[in-house]
Amino acid sequence: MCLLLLLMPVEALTMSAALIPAALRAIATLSAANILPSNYSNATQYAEVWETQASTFFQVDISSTNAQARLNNYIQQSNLSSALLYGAGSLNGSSNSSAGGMSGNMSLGWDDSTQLIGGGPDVSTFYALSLKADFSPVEVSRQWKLEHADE
Amino acid sequence: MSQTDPPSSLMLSCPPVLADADIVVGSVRTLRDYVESGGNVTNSIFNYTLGNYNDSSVQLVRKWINGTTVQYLSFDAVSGGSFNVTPSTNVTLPPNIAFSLSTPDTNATLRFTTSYNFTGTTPETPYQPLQGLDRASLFLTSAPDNSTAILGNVLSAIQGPGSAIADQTSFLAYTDRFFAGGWRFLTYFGRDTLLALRLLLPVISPTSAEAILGAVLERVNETGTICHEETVGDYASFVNIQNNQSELGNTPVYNYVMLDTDFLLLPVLADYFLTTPQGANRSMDFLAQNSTLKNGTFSQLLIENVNHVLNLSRAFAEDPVRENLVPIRDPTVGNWRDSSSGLGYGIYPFDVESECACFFFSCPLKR
Repeated sequence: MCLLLLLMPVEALTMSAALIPAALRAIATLSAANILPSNYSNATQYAEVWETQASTFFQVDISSTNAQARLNNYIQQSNLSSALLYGAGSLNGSSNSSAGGMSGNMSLGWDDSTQLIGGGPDVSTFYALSLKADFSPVEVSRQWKLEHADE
Repeated sequence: MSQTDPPSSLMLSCPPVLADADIVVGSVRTLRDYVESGGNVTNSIFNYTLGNYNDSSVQLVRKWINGTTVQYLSFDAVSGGSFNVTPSTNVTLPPNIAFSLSTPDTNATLRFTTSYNFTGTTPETPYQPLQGLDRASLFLTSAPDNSTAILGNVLSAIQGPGSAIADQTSFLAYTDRFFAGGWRFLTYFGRDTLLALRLLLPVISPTSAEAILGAVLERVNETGTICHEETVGDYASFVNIQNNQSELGNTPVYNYVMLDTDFLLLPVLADYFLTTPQGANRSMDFLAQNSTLKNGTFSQLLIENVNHVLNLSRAFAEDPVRENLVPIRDPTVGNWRDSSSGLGYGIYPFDVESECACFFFSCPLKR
């Protein structure tokens, strides 16, 4: 199914679909157009609550230090090359492919303003893929900035 | 699938004796079970038998579970090769079929043909062929007034000669439903067809848009839940037997497990009728139609889904605490990621609950 998303016009930054608010808005729209009875106009108020409140439960804040540590750990666990973290096209946008590395203390470029995660010296926010039954967030980012896809 | 398919030939250039291969004859779901399990999932109820054979042809025969249909799969050695068929002494085991080249390193031509004989149709089990839509019925044949030049170009390309993609898409398009894809998903799927409709809105014909919407509405259940998948044909007989309901024969089986699907109908229906030129002023006639699968008009079935959406969203709307978010219904699946690992083993999908720059599903008034 994710292949369908790649065919969509490039207009918005994130690729998430928000289904409950969208369905509620559609009810209100159809009601206003007299395709549905008019007593469904309260769907707008429902939509506003979902749109403003639901995402907060999925919010994950992460420091750039923590983000870097997780990436390094992932590289190791997945048996991938640390070169993926550095150099042109990598998350830090550096053009020097030999910069950084496991033991280097060179700047990783995490303060690059285009970084989704780790941008700036402080905390970044992303939204979890899902919540578990105990409402803990599954800390996998399900959104991309399309700028990254172009780099 | 119905009627006789034209024979297909394939050229073989291979070692003198073909490598071992399994033959599976049956419905798409049967083949999917077998392929997706790596050849482990089979059921003897789907076994075929050996029909006529000689050194130039072999026929395999399979009767549907409900006895209404017989399927034949035939192989013919057209040139350059021959068969050696050894029936199994154990009737539950398949025959050994060897195809050998007449001359080493020389091409052979092998033809296979599949056909169906609908022998046992009754008033209760009539043969109801699907009526397909060709590309002229699937896509707009000309750009609506005030369209962009780009849309005109796209439609010309779709309807133009040699547009293979249009013909391939139309293979999935029928007057009363669309299929999700070939070969493994040749049946109704709610999510797939509603998402496809949304993507195709600029170019899709009213006939097709309403075939998709109508198929979804006809399968809405009594709680307003939208059907995820329909199981038909011979495999439906198998499922009904598994469910201790063999008396249902091959009555279709409907699956309502997916959560995200419940919310996919309303946005695209609104967009179609209210924002597309080809959908304008068509909603009244469309919604007045009677469903053929269950009692009620499309309007009544739509309202069932509206009430269902409101019922699911009301608790959080009135008290936005996390306990009032809407979890998936099944322990492992429920949204387009379609697997427990796809959701990271969570049960509240972000896609369903929340919103970030929602352009894909947003409705006219929101833009």
